[in-house]
Amino acid sequence: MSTPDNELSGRRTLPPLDLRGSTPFGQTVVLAARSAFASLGVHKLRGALTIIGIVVGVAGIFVIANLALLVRTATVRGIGGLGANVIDVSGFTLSSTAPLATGAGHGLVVRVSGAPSLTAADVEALQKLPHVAGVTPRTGTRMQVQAGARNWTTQVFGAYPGIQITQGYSVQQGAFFSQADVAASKTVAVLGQTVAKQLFPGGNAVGQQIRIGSVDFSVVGVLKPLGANGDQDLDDVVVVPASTFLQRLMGSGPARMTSGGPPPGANVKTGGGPPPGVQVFQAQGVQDPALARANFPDVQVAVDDPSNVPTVKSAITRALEQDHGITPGSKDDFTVGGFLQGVETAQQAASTILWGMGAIAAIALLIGGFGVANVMLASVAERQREIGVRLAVGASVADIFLQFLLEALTVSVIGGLLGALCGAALSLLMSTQLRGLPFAPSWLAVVAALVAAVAIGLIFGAYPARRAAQTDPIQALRRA
Amino acid sequence: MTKDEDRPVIRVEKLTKDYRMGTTMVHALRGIDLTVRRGEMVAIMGPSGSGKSTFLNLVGCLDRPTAGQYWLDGIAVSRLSTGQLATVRNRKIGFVFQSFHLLPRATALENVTLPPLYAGVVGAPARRRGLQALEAAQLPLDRARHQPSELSGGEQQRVAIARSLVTGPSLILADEPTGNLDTRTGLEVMAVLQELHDDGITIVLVTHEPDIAAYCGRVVRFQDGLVVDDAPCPSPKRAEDTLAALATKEVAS
Repeated sequence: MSTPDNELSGRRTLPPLDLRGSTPFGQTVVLAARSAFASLGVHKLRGALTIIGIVVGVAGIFVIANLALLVRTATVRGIGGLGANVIDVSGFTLSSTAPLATGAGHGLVVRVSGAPSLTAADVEALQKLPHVAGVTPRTGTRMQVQAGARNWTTQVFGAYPGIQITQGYSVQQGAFFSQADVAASKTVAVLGQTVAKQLFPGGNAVGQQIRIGSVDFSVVGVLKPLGANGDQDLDDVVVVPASTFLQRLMGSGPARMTSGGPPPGANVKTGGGPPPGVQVFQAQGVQDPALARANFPDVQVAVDDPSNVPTVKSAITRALEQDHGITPGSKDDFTVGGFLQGVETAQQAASTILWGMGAIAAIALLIGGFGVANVMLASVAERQREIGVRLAVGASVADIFLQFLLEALTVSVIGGLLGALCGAALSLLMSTQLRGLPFAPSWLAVVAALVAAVAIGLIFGAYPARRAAQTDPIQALRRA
Repeated sequence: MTKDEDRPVIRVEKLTKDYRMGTTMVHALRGIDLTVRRGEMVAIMGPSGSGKSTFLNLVGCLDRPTAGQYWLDGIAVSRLSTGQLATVRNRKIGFVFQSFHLLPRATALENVTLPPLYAGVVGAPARRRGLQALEAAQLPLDRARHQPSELSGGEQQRVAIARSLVTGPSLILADEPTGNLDTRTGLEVMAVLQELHDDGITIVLVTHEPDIAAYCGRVVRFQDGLVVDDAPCPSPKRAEDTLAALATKEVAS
């Protein structure tokens, strides 16, 4: 070939490189992304399989995150008021028409038919069980309470003195009513702090007269403040003997669902069609209307230690079956871990399903991750010579590490973006299939999906990148 | 300036390299003393296993000696960290390999702008620099956008030479640069190297072909990890002349 003498005047060697305005990092990222696309282009099937793994995993994560957020917002909040060591026994056979697991409930409807089955004798029997710290029936309803010219609408509970243990009440002034007061159906009342302050702003509530509904009660005690549980004021309460409540207060109004007070956010109704997306509980009682005024719809049992709860639960079941003459195999007319815990159980089931789906998504993501690692390791092995050349011309070990890590990240982020897209589509599909599940692909779900993708890229890209960075340039360049 | 000119590009003292091969220790270099001055074109010859490749790897900062000292352009290389060695390879040394070692999916120009990239020089300045280097290595510039697979062997080696020049290094290390080329193309590459040498660049070239060594101003012979001969060659052959003679012969026949 001819030498272009005329084109080259003077020295052919170049002066040392001018390093002003050098930007190594940004270019490395661009280069790595380009290099990743190039290697994906060369091994299309391998790249596609890897990306599919990531897509499935990330789509799963997206759906899970979206569902979890929906369930959280739709959850019947603040079931509290029941400690972990309190067992709720319902005097009804409870069933739910639909599983709560869809997480769709915006509210709760309880339909009651018949009378409750729990008697005073049952309560006495439960008190004798081992590990039982205290037992009380708890029936309640919202009523207006008057003291002179002042009046206040509050939650009125009918209970036994045992409610001090199950609810953690303690008396600040005066005394709690006794079991003898219950036996005599006395018209005595214990006020929560909020009620005491509303009715008797000047203090000295003890010994005063109040009127609940149309019945006069004398105040025997005021409770210490408990504070609030969520948006529920635990001190906005009046406690009267359960017998008095059932005979005097319940008689004054229409039959009500009288469990331990609906959880806040729950929508307790006795009839009518439920709005869409609302959970419906059926509560079936015994077919004897006369018992409605004598029996308790709800009894709470405090256990000495939360670890004994399962033992005590089965003991309660055995004791009540014996009392009620229920033969093994036939249906109980009560529910241990009843209404409130039923809701909790359903929510646990919902979260179990979420965890299960989460586990599947995690496995898919893990498989995708191993795919990334596999592709990257193969790529590192194939590109030994390239790595050697890069090292020889001045790439640092860190440059090589970064390049291969960024290549892995590129693959996983492409997968992540596709996965988030698929996840959103899947969520949309689910919302059309499951009535009442609103589709709201939240940004949090998108963020969760992409974080998962980046994490996979970093975790499973790090090892191949390290292998690449450890390449011996002499060995790598020796290969022809 | 004179002081800078006088400073040797390579100075090694008692350079030793042992490595393990399976269970046996190989004493690849047993104490090399050698100085290469600025502007020299040195051929290193010797049979395989004589240590010449090991020597090139050490001088090229791709490997560290077991013992001994090495100053590159006055820098005590033995004391440098791995990261500093990468910088030295980038700015001070250019490699030319027997099998070119170009990145297959990059164009000629992209291959040449790889060393500037690792120096942090990108974009238009890097491309300008790359084109200058390609011109210096005598690659027709219409080949700059071609991938290595679209270039002849001689063109590929010119790209590799351009890559070795691009950062303006003190030293070009060529490992059998004509080994994969036919005689004529090999001579063309030697002509390019000789012209670069004429312009003042320092070249160390490993070869086992006496024909190629004849174009260098100094021939160092290695045997069993030691320098056995170090002879200047006052008037080396010119590759251009050989090429011209070859052309005449072809015309005559």
